[in-house]
Amino acid sequence: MTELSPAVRALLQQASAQHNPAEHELERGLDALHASLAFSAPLVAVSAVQASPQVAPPAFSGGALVSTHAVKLYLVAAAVIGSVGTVAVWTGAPEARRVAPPISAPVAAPVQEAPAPASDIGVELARIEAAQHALQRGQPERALAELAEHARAFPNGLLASEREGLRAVALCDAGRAEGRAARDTFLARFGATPIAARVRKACPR
Amino acid sequence: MVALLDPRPRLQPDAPEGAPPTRADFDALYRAHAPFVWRSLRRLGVREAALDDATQEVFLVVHRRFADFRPGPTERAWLFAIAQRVASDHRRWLRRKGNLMPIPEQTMAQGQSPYEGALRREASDWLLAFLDQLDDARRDAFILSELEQMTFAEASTALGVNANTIASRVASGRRALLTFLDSRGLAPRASEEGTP
Repeated sequence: MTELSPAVRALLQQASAQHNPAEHELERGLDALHASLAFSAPLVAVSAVQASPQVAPPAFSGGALVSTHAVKLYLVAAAVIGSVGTVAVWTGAPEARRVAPPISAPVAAPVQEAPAPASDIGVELARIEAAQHALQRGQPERALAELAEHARAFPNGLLASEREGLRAVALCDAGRAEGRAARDTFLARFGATPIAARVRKACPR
Repeated sequence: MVALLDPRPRLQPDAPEGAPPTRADFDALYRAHAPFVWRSLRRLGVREAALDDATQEVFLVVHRRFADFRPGPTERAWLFAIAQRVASDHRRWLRRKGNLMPIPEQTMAQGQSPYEGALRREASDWLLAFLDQLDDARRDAFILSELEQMTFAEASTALGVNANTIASRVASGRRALLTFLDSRGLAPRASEEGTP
């Protein structure tokens, strides 16, 4: 076998040592993961001091009712053209603008013990939008995590059909076999919605 | 795609999902291996600007498939196989986007002079450039064996091919490295060589 000389080895070692991340990059990554993942409770009781601070989801109430259906319409349009943020700004939906999180800072996961609000279109939209962004960036697993959070907080939410459609897309993008079943289930229930075309494209038969 | 078709037993894409890990277990795994995952992704062709997202993507898979996780000598092999798949998705996405990603290759560590920073980046660049022009099979073997100092047996577990195949890929990778260094004028001169 070809052997590398000590000088070449040294060169290789010096170059490869530059590939490590900085500490703050790793910490930021872990924080982002904590925000979108569910964990099992540890077997040993965690004291109140150690428990993570509970972040309440932003409350959106008065005034949202009137525009709720309008926001859903925007979102459906956005799902088709693939840019929620643009459409929300374009149609001037203030709730959508307010809650749209930057990609790198997803909204804190609603704490599981806290009762989920029956309908909170702002929070719902933020989740769906975060999933949408993740899909655009080629991160289907991130998208699935966001969609799972949405399903947990709003099983019958206003955007449940969008969630199921995006879930099928994400599963197919990730190359997972469940994608096919998710596609069929989605199309059977929501075959006539605008997002169906996107599902068919992501999960061809 | 390779990873998808790969019959490696501990990496079934559709294995049933178990209970999620506790946060402490997950954090411990992350802290132990995130640097390895990060640099593997980088060497597998993920752009600097996308490394944090891609690393998170790997650990989202880890979280989902925690039931498959076996602590011990195959930990890194398991993680590398996941990283291969995420990196391959990333490269496909890059191709689709026509390489439109911004490349702020901003890696300067604190306390370095700009000159030192540039030198370090340059040093890092040639290795990535070398890896980039290898085929997948030789690149993966070279990363694990030469850069991560895995034994052929360990690399064989990670890549799902036998150790002899790994040895021959590494040998071929070494020859390619020497040719590459020569062509770039980076090869150490004979006088610097320890042995003839």
